[in-house]
Amino acid sequence: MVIKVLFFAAAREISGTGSMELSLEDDATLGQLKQSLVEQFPGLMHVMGHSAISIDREYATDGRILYHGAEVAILPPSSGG
Amino acid sequence: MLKGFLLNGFLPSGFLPNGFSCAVRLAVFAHSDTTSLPNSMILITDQVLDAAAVQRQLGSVEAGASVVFTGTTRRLTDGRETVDLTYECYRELAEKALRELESKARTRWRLVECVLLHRIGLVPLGEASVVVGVSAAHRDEAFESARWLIDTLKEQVPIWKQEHWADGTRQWIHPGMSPPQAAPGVDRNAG
Repeated sequence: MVIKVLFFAAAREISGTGSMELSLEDDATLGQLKQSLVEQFPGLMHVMGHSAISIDREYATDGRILYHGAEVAILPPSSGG
Repeated sequence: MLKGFLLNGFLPSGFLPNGFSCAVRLAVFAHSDTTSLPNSMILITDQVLDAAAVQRQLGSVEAGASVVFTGTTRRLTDGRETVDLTYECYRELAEKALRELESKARTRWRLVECVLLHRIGLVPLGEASVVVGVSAAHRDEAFESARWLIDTLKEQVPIWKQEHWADGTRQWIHPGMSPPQAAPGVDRNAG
């Protein structure tokens, strides 16, 4: 299955892109996606440890099972205002 | 009375993640004797925020108190000089989070009007990045809800600020995350 991944702020800077598509085994979890991203972008590990993650604009935890076409966003700590 | 229009447009792509084009709604305020705005407005825009227009919008015969909080780009932070700031957001989730903030505030306080505006893109020194406006029957509700709204917005809404320091470096601000993420400066005049 193919997952769309969005990167913001420091996560975008480290990955060098705002979005990418990632192929994963069917029924992969969010935790497995995060592991795959860290393998591809080792610098993301630190940011990922502090980031919230959303799946299709709903916050999610590592155990969530992903599905084809899901939009996953890496959301470092907010600093609006 | 105040009349408002929401216009549709598109952001310049410079500060957005690759491949993104975010629709933007522009708030245009004008006086009118016949039309009033809806009693809430949530807006993320790359345009200058008009706190005075928000103040006018909050006016209602049902409200005995109104509070407008304006957050602006500050020159000094712990002795470091800021040239300007850039903000980016995850628009769909940020707008949803702002709507939820308003909804939660309205369950805690009896608000007449509620306005939440955030600017994205480049925000020069002295200009507003955020405006929170509320009106209520009494001042306690207005003060408390405005304070809660700006505090919670800063903490929870997926919007991010990048400092452009006077020494040429840039830094995404991520509270609670260390070490700071610093990147070499980019010549703004290039290109």
